[in-house]
Amino acid sequence: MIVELPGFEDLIHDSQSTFKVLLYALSRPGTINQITAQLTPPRGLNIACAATCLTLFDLETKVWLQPGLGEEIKSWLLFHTGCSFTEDTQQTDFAVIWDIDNMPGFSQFKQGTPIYPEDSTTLLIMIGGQVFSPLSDKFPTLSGAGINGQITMPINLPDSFWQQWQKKYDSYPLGVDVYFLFYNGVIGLPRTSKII
Amino acid sequence: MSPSTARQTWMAILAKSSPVDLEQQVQTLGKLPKYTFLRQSEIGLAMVRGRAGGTGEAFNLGEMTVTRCVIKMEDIKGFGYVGGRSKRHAELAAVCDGLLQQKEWYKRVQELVIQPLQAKLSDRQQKQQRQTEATKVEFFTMLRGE
Repeated sequence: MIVELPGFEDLIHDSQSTFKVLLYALSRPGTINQITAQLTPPRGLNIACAATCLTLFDLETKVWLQPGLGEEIKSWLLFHTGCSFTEDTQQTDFAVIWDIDNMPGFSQFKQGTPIYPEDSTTLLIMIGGQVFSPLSDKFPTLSGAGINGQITMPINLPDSFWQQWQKKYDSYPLGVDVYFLFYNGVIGLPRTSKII
Repeated sequence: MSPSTARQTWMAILAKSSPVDLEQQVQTLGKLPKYTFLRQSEIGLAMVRGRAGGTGEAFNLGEMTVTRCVIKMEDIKGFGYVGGRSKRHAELAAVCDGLLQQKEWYKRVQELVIQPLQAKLSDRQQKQQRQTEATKVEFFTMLRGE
């Protein structure tokens, strides 16, 4: 299947600026960052996720798509990035997730090894607008590297997600890193962030 | 090897022609339909592999620069893969590939672009062959008295 949609409008500058935003998002956990790149994503991906995929994937990355993301997305990613796809979550470098309620547990993904902790899966989780309910006490507060004191995670996520996240912290420095992607915004949640 | 299809033939001619010749011939087509880029011209590397004598084990000959481009004209997609670093060359090759897939353009592009380019290419090839032929040295080995 040949794709119908182009990638970045301005390939070099859009991917560079997106990369910078992604770096910043992960080094300042819990802050909302704007991706300025312009593009028309295929159905099923939001702009932020599509831009992130185009920026981070290349010929050497293995990608796992959560079931439900269609053939159109697959061929679009293949055409523009040349990445390869895998069904095995233990093997994948990136996981694209659209349904956070039904995603596999963190332990199902590649955790890295003590010598190469960076060789782990990065989760790209798309979230909809409904998670931006007004800030409330039940939103978890994070601390850790890149956070001045503490910060309240500005999005409403399922409790099960945070329970797992807390448990996962035991295996630090191994573990996954997460990007939350919505419209053209991105929030980073690296493995160093701890719930307090 | 399987016989090349018509599309392979014209893509090869577009790729092997010089960008200047291609540009000149495309000018003669007049106004072209609008197109957008599905993949903007980008420069990359491709490993060229060979087999000694055409049958031996494959070996890596070396890397060459390749420029590729994909354009979209309404529903038609044109692909251009050319050697070298001329982005314009890849773009024009993709445009011609796109036009050649359309009935209403096929004949014109064949006559005004492909055929003249092919003629130039075969001229160039023949000239090269003649020049090579002229410097050919016949080696013969004398048997040693064994």
